[in-house]
Amino acid sequence: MSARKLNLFTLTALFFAGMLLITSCGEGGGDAEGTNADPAVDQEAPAEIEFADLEGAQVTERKETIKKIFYTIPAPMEMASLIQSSGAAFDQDLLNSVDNVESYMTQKSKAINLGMYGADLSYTTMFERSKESLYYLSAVKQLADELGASNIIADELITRVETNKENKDSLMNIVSDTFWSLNAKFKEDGMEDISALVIAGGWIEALHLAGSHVEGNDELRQRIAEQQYSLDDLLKLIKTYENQDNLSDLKADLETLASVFSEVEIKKEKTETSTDDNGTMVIGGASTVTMSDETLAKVRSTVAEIRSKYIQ
Amino acid sequence: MKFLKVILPLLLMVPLMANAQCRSFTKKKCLPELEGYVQNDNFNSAVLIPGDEAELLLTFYADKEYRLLVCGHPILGDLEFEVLDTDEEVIYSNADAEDEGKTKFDFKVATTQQLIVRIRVPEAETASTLIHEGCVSVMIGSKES
Repeated sequence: MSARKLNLFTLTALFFAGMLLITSCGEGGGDAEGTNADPAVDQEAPAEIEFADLEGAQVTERKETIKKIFYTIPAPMEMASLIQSSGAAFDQDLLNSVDNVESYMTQKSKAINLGMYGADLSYTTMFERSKESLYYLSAVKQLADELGASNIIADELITRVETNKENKDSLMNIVSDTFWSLNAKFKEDGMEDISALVIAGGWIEALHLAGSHVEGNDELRQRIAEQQYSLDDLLKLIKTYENQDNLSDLKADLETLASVFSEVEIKKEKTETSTDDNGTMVIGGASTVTMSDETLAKVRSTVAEIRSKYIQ
Repeated sequence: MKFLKVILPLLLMVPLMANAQCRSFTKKKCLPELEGYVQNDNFNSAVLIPGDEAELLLTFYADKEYRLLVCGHPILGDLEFEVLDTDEEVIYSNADAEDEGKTKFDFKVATTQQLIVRIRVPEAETASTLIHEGCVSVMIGSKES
């Protein structure tokens, strides 16, 4: 072996030894009771957690404290659940066709439609349409893979869905867990704009689905009006990435929608709390939501316009 | 050149693997506490040090049951958290809760509303040259009432 080859071999071996050490402290070495832990952390750890799992903890030189703000919106699964419980009937024609998956070429269109397919997946799952759920999970997998998150939706997950296709609760958990992991992966990989696009795509699709089922359904009408709150949260989330060109069009579209939603009147009185028979706190306080037929029609048409722009 | 082609991409993976610890920690240590609830898709986790604060603003739908879980690495001590309405009135504080309520808060909302969750990592009791940082995750699960 030449000296040059030996040098490369040695460096590679050292690198992998280092990686093994890191992973044993992190992903895999969780229950090592200190034996695999970072020595620096172990040395300084308070006595009461001396033998605790040290995964997720390190030492730092940072001394200045920070305030971290999270902006988040309800999951599409929650809206799908509201649609299903309101007595609406499943309608496949409302969904973004899985045949479109090949036509999304840019990172931005892949991310938005990943979110949209996720909302459609929640909808098919909530209505226990297992065959359609598998199609939508495959579309989600394809876009996630293309965005660099190929390790999140493994073939085993598809098998798990097939195995659990009759168990709605299991499927709901699999879908939520998958999108949580995708969100985490994008954020951890510095692709926060992508995670925001996915969230926005899911929200737009969920609102489109709710709007399509709203005729004669007062409960859904109220839920749509209340999306004023979620839109406010979503805009705050998107504005945290103001310098991302990927998000500028979407921000403008959501601001147009926000101007329509501003016609919805929500009057909230002082928050009151009580306790139910099981001892669970109930947070109340009367709120009245007023949305005219005209405003509802404008919300629906604006959402349809935005959605069609992104699913093409 | 060959060195750069082989080693450089691998070296670039190191910080990603360190970051992935928060996801792994949350999955292993926090997620099981949401059993019976459907978790929100958003990943709300950060690496914090004593004295740091985190705040989450979220809309909760009427007639659903929620579990709020504030899950931090034990090295950070007992996290303090409060739930406030949008007028910043405190609705719940884990300081007033029994032991089992220190990390989670189960509640229902009678009317759809935005709530603020404010979390504070307590200051370290003993001065040390090394500061510990740990993952803090805020998780929300929901189910039908």
